Amino acid sequence: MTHEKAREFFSAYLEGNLEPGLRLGFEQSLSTDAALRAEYDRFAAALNQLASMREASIEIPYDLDERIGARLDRHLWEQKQVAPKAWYGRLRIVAFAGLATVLLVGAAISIKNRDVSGPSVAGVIPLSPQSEQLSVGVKQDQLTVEFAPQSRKTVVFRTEPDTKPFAEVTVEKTTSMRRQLVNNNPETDLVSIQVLDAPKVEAVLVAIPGVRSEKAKAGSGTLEEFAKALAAKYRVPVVLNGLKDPLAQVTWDLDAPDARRAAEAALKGSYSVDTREGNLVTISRS
Amino acid sequence: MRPGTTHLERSSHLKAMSERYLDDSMLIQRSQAGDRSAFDSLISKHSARAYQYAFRLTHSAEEAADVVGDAFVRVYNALPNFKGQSAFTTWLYRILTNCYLDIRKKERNRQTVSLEAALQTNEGEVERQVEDPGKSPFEESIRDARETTVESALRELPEYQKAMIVMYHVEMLSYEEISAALDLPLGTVKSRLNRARLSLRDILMRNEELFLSR
Repeated sequence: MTHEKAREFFSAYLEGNLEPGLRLGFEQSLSTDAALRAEYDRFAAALNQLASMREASIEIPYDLDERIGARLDRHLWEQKQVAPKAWYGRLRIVAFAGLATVLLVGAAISIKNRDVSGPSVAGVIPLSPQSEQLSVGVKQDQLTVEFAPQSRKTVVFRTEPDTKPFAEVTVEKTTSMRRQLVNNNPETDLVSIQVLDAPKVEAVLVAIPGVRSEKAKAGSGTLEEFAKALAAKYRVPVVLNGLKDPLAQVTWDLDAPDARRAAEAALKGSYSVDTREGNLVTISRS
Repeated sequence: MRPGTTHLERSSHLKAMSERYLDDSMLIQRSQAGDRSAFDSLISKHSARAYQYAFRLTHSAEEAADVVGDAFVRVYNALPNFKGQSAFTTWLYRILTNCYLDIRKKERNRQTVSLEAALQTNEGEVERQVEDPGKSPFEESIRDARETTVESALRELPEYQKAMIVMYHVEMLSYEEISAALDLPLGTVKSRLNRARLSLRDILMRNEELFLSR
């Protein structure tokens, strides 16, 4: 066995993985070649030294997780800045009667339901613990409302504080509704989504940023106003999920790096804040 | 058997790996569904180990934190495509290694530009004065005192070889895990690791001679 060939077997021999025939040849070389033996011994010693590295303790920065979280938040924020209208810019605009400030793409006022093969829940948040779930989420970068009732129901959409709905969707038993929400107004709007004939289910409120960037500031007001300010500042839809007190008073700063932290800072644990796919923020009861 | 380890160490390592894998799959599923708190749990579960690996590669607290931060951003972006064909930890090692190599590559490019660039002044083109990025002799002596001989030798290895050595000998990954992490055939991992070990030994021998000749 040549010296060069023998070197190739150092690792396998040390780990006991060399085939018997090769091992014999290698051991013969070791016993007859003093230089090879010395070289191999140093090789084994070098690897043993590596064990000392395993034992050496490395001090983990106490704020490592926070730094990683902040790095991730910054990345997500930068992505949003690069394409602030990505969600909305790609959407098809469907004109409704002039009243509508928020449009239901592909829907008609006297809605004929488009059946989908059962509700898909990927990326969609159930908004109510009821068996007939009204859900809002992000599907293919679009804000989407889904509903699958057990009996015939009508879903009413209106822009707060309007009293007149801009759309009504009747959904038949065993079918499901899937509609996209788009705000083509310059400013953020608050949309109320209510299931008729389900008085125990609170309306779902969704603040949707408009097409124009807005300078949202620190302030105080109702939860509804806070949701609009949050959506405007961070350019994310904000959902108020089944809150009985949407007029509760809140004070906000909006100086956190992301919407979730800004909401948590303002709501101080009184409500739970959840961020899901597409940076949708959902505020619900704790 | 792995050089410098016992069967007991190895089996407990594997057990821990499998337990983490089970828990990870749940957190990953929730993260994939958009649950940020589940992703935060993944971070807190793996950040320390990721940092230790990165620190062993970079020898710098700041750089290690950068590598880990970059890696988790990449994990977040790629998570929807993670199919769980390998353990999350293996995948994380792959991303950490790539982040480390990218940072090193950027540094090399920056240094090349700095050295080759010329400044245009009123008196014509002059060579740019480049600040020596190396440590002062004092800093070097402090570092040497802290570091073991083998750590110094590791610094001199090419980045890829260093990553393999640290993965196997310090992080205790198996050949199969390294193969999955680096997307290399098993045989290639073994032969490259053997070469890396030989290089490490050569550096150690050279450093030893230098030390003795002082």
